[in-house]
Amino acid sequence: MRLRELILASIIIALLLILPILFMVLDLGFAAAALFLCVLYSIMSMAWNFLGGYAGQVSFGHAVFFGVGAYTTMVLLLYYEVTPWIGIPIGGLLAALTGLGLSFLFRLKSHWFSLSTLATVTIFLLLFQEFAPGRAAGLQVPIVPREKEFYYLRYAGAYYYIYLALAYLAVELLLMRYLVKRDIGYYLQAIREDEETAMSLGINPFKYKVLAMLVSSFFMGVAGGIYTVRFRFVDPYCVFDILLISIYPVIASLLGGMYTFWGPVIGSFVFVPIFEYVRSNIVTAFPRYYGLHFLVAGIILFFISLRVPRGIVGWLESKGYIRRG
Amino acid sequence: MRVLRVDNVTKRFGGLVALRNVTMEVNEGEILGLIGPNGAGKTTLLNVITGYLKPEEGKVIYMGKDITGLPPYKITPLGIARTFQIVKPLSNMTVLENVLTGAFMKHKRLEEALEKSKTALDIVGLSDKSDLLAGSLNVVEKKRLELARALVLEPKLLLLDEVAAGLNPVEIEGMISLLKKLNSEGITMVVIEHVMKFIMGLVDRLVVLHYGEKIADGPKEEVSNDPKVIEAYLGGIE
Amino acid sequence: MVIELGSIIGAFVSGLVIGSIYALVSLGLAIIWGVMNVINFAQADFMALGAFIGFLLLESLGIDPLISLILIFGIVFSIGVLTQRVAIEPILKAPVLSQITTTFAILLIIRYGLEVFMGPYTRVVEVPYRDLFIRFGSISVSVPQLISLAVSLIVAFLLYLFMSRTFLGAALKATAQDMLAAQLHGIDIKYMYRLAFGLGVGISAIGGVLLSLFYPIYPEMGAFFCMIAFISVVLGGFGSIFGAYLGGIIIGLVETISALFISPSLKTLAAFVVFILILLFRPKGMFGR
Repeated sequence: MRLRELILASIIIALLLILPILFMVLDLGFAAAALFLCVLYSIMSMAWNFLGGYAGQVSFGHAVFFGVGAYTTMVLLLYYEVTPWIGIPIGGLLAALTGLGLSFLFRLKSHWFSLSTLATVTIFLLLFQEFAPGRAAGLQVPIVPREKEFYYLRYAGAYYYIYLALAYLAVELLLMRYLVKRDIGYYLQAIREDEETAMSLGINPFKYKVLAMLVSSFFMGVAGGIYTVRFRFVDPYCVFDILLISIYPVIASLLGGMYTFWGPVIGSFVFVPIFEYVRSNIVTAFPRYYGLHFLVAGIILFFISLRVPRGIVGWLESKGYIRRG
Repeated sequence: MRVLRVDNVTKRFGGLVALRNVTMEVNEGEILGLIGPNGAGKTTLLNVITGYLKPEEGKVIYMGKDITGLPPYKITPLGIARTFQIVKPLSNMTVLENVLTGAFMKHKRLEEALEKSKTALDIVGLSDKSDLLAGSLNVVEKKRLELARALVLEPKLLLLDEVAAGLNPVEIEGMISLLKKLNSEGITMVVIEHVMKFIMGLVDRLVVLHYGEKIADGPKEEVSNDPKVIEAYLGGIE
Repeated sequence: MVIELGSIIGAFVSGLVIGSIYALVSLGLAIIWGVMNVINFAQADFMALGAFIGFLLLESLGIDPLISLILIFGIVFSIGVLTQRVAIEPILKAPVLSQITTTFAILLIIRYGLEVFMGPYTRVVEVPYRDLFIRFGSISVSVPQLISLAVSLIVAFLLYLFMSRTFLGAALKATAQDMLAAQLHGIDIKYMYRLAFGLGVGISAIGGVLLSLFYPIYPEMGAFFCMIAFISVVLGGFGSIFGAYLGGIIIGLVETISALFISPSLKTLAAFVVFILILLFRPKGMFGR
């Protein structure tokens, strides 16, 4: 890494570590909440992009993994008193298992695959609505005495959760960076570009799609677990939400740059503030204009799809401002 | 020694018989030309050999091992590499990355794979385009990329599908000497081609397909004078 | 649980009616897919658009939606052509992902544009015959539902005539079957694409107007009908336009009749699972190619 990149990276990391404390001291709850969402959606977008951007399998069903992770963490906590410190990774594992289970969908190609993943979200929503603990009403983390706060990961405000999310984001970035820089990363891209060519290079498409799915769904599940501890409430409608959980990371990844490594993170940090601003400032204040945030999201998606399909990072790369990878 | 034997292969697409009882052999170290008019089944045969298609009847035997019906990704590691008639580059990846992806099959370590990739690009003369996106190359360059990608797989048997199409006479000469050199280094080749100057300058033996059947098989001088072959091409060979 | 004959017949009739609405939306989807190879994710939202335009015309000018039906078709048709030129044409040669995200973006823009413009409220189209019923012996059928079924069948019939009797229709069919051959015959592909898209969304809009006669409408209604349309088309077979229509009717019937026996969520669940199964094992549906 060149010196310039090293300095940039250090500044960003330092900022991310200091901001939450700063926000807490200055009592900027809203800013903290927004930063938390930026990081959480970064986790989700990176996860989605590993399967969608690298392997080229565009899934609209990632809310399934998020929901599985969220419910796992919640159920382990409420019914078995298992701390989320363990519950969140287990949620990720169960989500990965779900991903493995859904891998038969890889038999379908391009839009059929995307369409069927869309259907799975509703299937899971209905299944959980009928059969999951809490059913349609959902589950809630109760108030706990102060000594148990750490065990239950139950804090006021978003401040501590930002660090939790940052930690998982760091793990995710490191793991993905490692995978992407070796044969796996190139194999996934080859599958995306042309499966027949990939096969001629000795690549078994199904095997690598499943691998990408495992990583992708794991971190999506982890994100679900983090959601659970931060918001302390899960119900089928919140977690198996097509627009806010499945589609949102897609928009963020596209905005940042689907064919790039950092795209999803950059995209999240740009998209989340815009979306949240519209949602909290306009929509909540003027319920008559409910839907404006989604309209804005649609316009952004429209613009990106047609004009800047390579996203922000892709655009920067094509102009030569930054190097590939 | 026999590298490849295609044994009585028949391939049907619904009612259409694309290959009918085709039998042929490829011996170690030779350059075999596979020719025939358009639609004769040459690429279909290639697809059957490399696992993209399953024959209804017959066997494909490579180095004594029956590889019929194996998927392409299991056949390539055995030592068979191919190029595609309609070029299939990995468009959104760079030229170097295209070859690198292939290099990983034999060399898991990044540094090794990179080295081998650069060598392959040197051989085909694309080194100066290493960092361009493969999709931005012209057709001739893409064909050279296909060749580089096939080479980096370190094959024993190389199947080339119309690798000379679109080349000017100078480039054709260059390609012929490149392939002859690779052949002398131990790579057995099967070359599908329409450009006769290229084929005749390169191969030892010819197999001719017509409407899915083999109508000739022998040394190039013999076959090119075979009346059956000339008739199949109607207006004569280019 | 005793189910009377009356309920079954009633379910059959309402299944037919709602099915005929699904059928129109699916018909449009199949046309667009057949001619352009594009899956229009926003299809059901053009239906909502049609419904709301009808509502607005009624509220502001007092015109019954049935009377303004042709006008509404024309408006949505034009919007469709415009959308095709601006959004779809540029990405026809792009990777499938661009198609998916672009039509999804259109979905968001129409659905939430409608919601921001009209407000997140459910509306009722107050036509004088809305609550009228006709008696057939012991069965009473709602008048707007009957009208809607009739109009849907008429539209399908008109489309059939168009496709089989007119030159434009034949050109459209030719483009759907073999784009290259059609071009060689002098057919302007771009024109065909615009026609197909406009037609596809226009028919969907008609479905929306008909629905509004007996059902309350709300801006996000596309969300519900979207998957139903896809299920119908897959059932009928992508590529078979009338298979899609039939698929819609079947889904409508299955929905209302099974509602007599099982809970709504299980019913939807089953439908979605069947959808995935069809995609996996019989992607040709009933009549597709």
